[in-house]
Amino acid sequence: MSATTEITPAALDETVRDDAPLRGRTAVSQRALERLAVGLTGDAGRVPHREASAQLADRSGDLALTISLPLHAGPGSASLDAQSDALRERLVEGLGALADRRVGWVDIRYSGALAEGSRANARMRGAAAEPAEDAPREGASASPETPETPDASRLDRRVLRRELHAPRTLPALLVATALLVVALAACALALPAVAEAVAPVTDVVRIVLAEPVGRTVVLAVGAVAGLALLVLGVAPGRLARRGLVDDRLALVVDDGVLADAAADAIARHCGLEASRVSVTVARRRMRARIVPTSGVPVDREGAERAAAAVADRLGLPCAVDVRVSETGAVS
Amino acid sequence: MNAVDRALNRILLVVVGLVLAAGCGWAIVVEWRPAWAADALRWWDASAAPPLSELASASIAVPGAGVLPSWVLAAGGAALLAIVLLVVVAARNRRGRSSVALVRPGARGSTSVDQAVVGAVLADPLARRADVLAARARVVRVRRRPGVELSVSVRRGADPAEAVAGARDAIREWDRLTGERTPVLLRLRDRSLLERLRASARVR
Repeated sequence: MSATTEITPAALDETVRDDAPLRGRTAVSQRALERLAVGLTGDAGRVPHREASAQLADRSGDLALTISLPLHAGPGSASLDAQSDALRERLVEGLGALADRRVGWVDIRYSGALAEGSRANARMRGAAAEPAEDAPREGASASPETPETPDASRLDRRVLRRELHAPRTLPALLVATALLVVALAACALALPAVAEAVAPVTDVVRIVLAEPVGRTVVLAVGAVAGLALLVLGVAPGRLARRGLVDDRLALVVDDGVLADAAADAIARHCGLEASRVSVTVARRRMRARIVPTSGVPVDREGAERAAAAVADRLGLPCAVDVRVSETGAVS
Repeated sequence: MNAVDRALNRILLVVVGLVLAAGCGWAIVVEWRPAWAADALRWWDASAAPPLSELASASIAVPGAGVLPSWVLAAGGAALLAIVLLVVVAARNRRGRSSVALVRPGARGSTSVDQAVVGAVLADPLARRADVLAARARVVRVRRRPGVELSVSVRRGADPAEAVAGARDAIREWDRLTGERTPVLLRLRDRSLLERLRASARVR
């Protein structure tokens, strides 16, 4: 008996492969498969194993994997499609060879990024010498055809419009809340117990409303509040930002950023401290105010040009008014 | 926050504002009865005021709650409406956000990219620049497609155009990596109040 049950791993393999009389059974548990998939993912994707995860499911009889791992990014890394295709290939191969399972579906989720050349990355490349080669490293040769969809810039324009105007969320929320509070209070007043408890307050309100002047004041406040809400609802609500859409992106610049940059440019041009230049940016023009150093003339045109250049470099041209203060500062 | 929410916000403001302004304004006119509004007031007294005051003083028998004055029912209706509005606003509040930057279906499984990757590819290289205080990227949905909002705070004294150029480099890298053109909104953000209060120059 003891002689016949002695099975070496190689023999076991033979038993399973051939259709010889069965002398044992090899079962690969789900947990083992998952660990195997994680290991394969880590090796094939060249990522630390602890950053990879795998889940198994069935998909019409085949094994379906859901893999999560970081993406290799940075100059020199392969493209997303190249990385995911290579990973899929390796997983299907690996699970077929090592666990004899047919994988029909692999969902890949990139949950983070490994910068190409980072330490973890370098370590992984050192450790897995062989797999480092087979991820197709297209690098610069991959000519990313970025399809210029015709509606792309329209989409950008839409986003830009949205970014430059106030959403009016807070006023709308406040109005809805106020409506709720008033309505609930009115309902509560219908209960005799509540009405009795707040009688002192309602008496005051009644006295105020009894006089025509009191009524008019209350109504006038209501009318003004209503007009204010109407204006909030209708006015464009332009925010203190400006923007543009070009071939690749929608750019939105807060007016404050432009003002800071223009003030710095003027200060540099005139050799002044930044605190001596103040810039206010309005919709169409910016106004700069310079407090000169006593006894040092200020190059006004030059300052104007310097400020305009800042706006031009951003692609958001803006007229500039420079005013030099009558009195300088001794320093 | 998408275009529909913005429209809803404004519609709510306009409707409530109109009702409030017109109602209170007309009540003032009725109170003071100016000569220029004589015709309108005559019409009001004859045909509009009686049914309204009748409605206001009416009471309706509600099964289970006894007899309730009509204004309580109106208030209850308004409260219900306000609750619905608030729930809608709360439910739609973060609708524009998304955690998935890209989904690419394939014949043998889909490939998706999380927001974290966008942060690492687009925001991190910018945040490492000396002229940038902070950079953040998040995924927003624009017309049901994912787009990226890249928000950058530029250090005082730096040229914002250079930060924009840096962002363009990062976007080029993203385009190369993904092979497609994700809409990008680049926002150069003003320094926050806190940063404004700090000294603009510092020595290390």
